[in-house]
Amino acid sequence: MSRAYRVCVRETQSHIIHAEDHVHTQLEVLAVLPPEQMAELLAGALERRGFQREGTRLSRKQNGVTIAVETTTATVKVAAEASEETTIQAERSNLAYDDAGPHAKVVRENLKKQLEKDITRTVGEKTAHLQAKVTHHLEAELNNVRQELDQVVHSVTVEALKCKAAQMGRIKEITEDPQARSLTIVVEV
Amino acid sequence: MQSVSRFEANLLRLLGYFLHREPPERALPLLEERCAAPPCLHSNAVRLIKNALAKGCVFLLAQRGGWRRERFLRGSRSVEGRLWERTPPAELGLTFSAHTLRFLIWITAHRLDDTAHAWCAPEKELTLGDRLLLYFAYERLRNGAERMGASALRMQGPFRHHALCWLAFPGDYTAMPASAGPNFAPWTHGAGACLLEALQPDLARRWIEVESGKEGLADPQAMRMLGLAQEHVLTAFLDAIEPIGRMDLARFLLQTAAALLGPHAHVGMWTAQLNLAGLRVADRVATYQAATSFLRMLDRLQTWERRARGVGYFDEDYAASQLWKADWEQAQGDRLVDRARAIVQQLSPLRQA
Repeated sequence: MSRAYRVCVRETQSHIIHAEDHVHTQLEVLAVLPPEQMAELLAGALERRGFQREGTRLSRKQNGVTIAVETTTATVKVAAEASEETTIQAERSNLAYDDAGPHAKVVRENLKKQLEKDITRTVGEKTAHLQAKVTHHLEAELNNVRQELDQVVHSVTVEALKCKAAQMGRIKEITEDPQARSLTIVVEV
Repeated sequence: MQSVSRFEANLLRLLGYFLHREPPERALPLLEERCAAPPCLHSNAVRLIKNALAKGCVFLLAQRGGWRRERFLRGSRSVEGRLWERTPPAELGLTFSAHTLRFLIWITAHRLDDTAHAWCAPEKELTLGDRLLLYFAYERLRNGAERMGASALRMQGPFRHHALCWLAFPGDYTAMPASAGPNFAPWTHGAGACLLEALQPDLARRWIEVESGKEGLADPQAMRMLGLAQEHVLTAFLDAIEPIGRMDLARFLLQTAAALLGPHAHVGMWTAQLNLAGLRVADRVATYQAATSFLRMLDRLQTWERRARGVGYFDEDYAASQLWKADWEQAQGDRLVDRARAIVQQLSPLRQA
């Protein structure tokens, strides 16, 4: 009479999973002044809002989201990323006809292969879960970013119009209605 | 009565099919029935092939758009009339090289997907007539014989770089490697440009079909590949015609835009069925950009119009500029671009948030 032996394989792996998501977009900055001056005004407006300048690129990190603005091209990149260290434990068992003989070896090898697949699948699931979290977070932040960038573009346009008016003649009166987002400049030429 | 062998009869029937002289039900079975190629063709058959090419190609070109009274550039002035009135017929003559005959023999003797005996011809040796026949052949085969391996055909040498096939069927070239770009050089000068003029209504109809098809496209990956292929071919096409001042050859793009961007055009016409669930924001944006690749390209056409406004009477490209301005006005280009921008804007990630 033959006996069956239970072969059990257990594996623990540590993985660092990474997820990122981003959006590229273009700010609609009106070309009121030459491009270099518009870029400088944009950089100034962003600096006042806490952006750090690195050459022509300004960036700021808030709530896990990085906003980077290239002032010369008025392009914006909003990016979110996250990393997580995860430990995955997996276990599989099967029956073999011998304890440490050739069949047990084959069973153990098969179990190891299955475990590898299990771990890969679990890593994939965890990565997808983290990715969904990052994407959701980015989507939630985009609304705030849009409002802020709209305000930045508005303030840059106002500044540019004032500069342009000053170049054209003597500014007699400036009336600004923030609610209606309108600006009236009276210039004496 | 001229007698030909079975192989020659099959070849002539396939040629007739490519030139819209034979119905698919008489020609397509021949693509399945293989027939061993003889060492050479009888002079009767060669005469009939010459006759079919001479009459068939001219007939198709005239039918497709050559008959229309249109205005196109001829040198430094614009000329109105039918194709053969704009250019003397003697200058419109097409030459067919031995490659046309070899192609016809190959397609009669082998299956389309027969990779062991694939047809190949050096790109530089092809004449305009060869290229035109290949275009008509591909057009018929992709519609009638896609199951029989017509998709394998476009992977073969001359079709990989065939600019007219790329331009008319960008959706067929989504799986092409980056190195297999369209070669527009034969289509932007001389008789090649005249053929492109005659095929403008064809191209407009095809682009309307492709753009309209996006409404029902659900797979984001398929949309991205289609958008990339469209961007690839349009960039190559506009890059080819801009330096030589033949903006009038892009008239079909304006006609396409006019047909698509009516007053009721909306974003759903490009993205209605897209299944974006679970995608990253970056991938969604890429998919939307692909969906609107044609709409975004209209900006480039507008820059041509803006530049044309500044061209004076004594400037070299005055006629080209005037013609493009007239085309632009006729299509109400500014209004179309505004509508296109509004749609692109709606899909902007920061607008959607």
